[in-house]
Amino acid sequence: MSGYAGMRESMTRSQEAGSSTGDGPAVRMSGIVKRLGELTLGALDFEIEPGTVVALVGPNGSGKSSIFRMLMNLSKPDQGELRVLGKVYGSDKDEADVKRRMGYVPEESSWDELGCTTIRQLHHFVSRWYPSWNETLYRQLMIDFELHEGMKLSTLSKGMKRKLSCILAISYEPQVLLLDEATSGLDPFASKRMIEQLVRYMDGGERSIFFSTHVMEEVRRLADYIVYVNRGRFVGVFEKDRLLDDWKKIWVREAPQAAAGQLPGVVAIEQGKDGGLVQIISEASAETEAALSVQGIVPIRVTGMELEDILEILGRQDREASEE
Amino acid sequence: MHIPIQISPDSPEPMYHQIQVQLKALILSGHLPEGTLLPSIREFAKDLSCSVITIRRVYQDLETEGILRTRQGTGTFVAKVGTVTREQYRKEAVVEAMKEALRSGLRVGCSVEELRVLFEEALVELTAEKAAGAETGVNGPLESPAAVKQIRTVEGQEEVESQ
Repeated sequence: MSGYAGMRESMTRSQEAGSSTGDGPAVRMSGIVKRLGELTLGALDFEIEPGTVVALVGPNGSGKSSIFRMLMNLSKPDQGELRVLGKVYGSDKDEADVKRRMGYVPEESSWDELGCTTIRQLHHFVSRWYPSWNETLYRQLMIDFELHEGMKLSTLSKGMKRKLSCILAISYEPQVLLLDEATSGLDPFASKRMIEQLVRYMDGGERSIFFSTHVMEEVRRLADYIVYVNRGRFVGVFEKDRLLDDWKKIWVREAPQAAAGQLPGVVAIEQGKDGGLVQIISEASAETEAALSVQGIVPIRVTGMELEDILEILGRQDREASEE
Repeated sequence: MHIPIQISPDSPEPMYHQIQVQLKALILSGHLPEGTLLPSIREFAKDLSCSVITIRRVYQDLETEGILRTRQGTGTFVAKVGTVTREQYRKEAVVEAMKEALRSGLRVGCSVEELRVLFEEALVELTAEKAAGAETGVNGPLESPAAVKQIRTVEGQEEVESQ
């Protein structure tokens, strides 16, 4: 499955729904390949539409952080074209211009080389770099996240560093916000607050968020699209709501007739133990139910599926397809 | 502003449809009066844990139906809904609710005749309950939250007044 095609289709539908795409995608990766030791990342093909939140998911070691680093030009792809805010990383001037409109919250922030001891010093240092720095917003975020200017950087916990990193990135109101493991190290309350800030951030114009996470709940709450990378393999781009709408477990009393041919959308059929109910996993529940009803089978129950279960199956299907 | 809408992951209907139906019900039953400013697309999406694509679609569809109107830069508001639309909706909502009840009957294997009989029984019981409730001044026992919700949806105005 070409993730690019899937994205195009989703984008066309949402364009029909009236979204304004402004000057084209906020981010575009075409045919990106990057060799990371024994792992080959790619080929990645996806776009991030302005005004959307995209989640990057996949097991550890899949190359997710490399994607962010390439987007920030901290490393270069081996193949393919990368465009951020319509520009390719070429001249230094272009790079500075693009980066001024991007926010990046990496997995670990190190401000050591900057020679700042306190948050106040870091604040002054960073704010000078960005013409769009919003001091009022910065102050409000500091209050919301319960940090003080006087705090020493060396004494900050992992969670506090993450919050600070986030505050610094949002305060100059970038067009694209990249977050690697957004809420890692944060307790549930701080996590919730951070997500609220991200939602608020999105309200200000045609902004985009690209964030990686292991917390499916965050994907469920925030994401419009999901980019799924599995051990370097680009599994695809998916519209989150469509995944949750289409994938269902259908419970029936008896397994449908095999003679009737393959039922559309069926991924797996599991016979219950000791004559229990039959569980059908479908990736196109409407079609499957329609086909069942032709056979006169009325489901006893239809239940939704968890995102992680859907993604697990998609990952498996992708691996099996690649082995053919 | 937070709108009381519940998405059921187990419903055969896609999310946008469920939201649309419930939002329409809230508006046409008068719970969200004309001129009410609805939440931003992003805020609403976060509240319901769905994507902006879905909410955008709901707002667009309801705007096409004339139930919502959008003012650039300000937001999406509840529009003035005519009496004809309200009437038509009342009937649609009742039919939808009855279909849901019939579906649950089919699921446990009822025949069409059985469903007809059960419907009459339920109607008789309900009428008796309402009469009893009116005498004692207390609402009858709730059959199921879903049934009450469906009745509320249809009788929106009435329920609000009787409280």
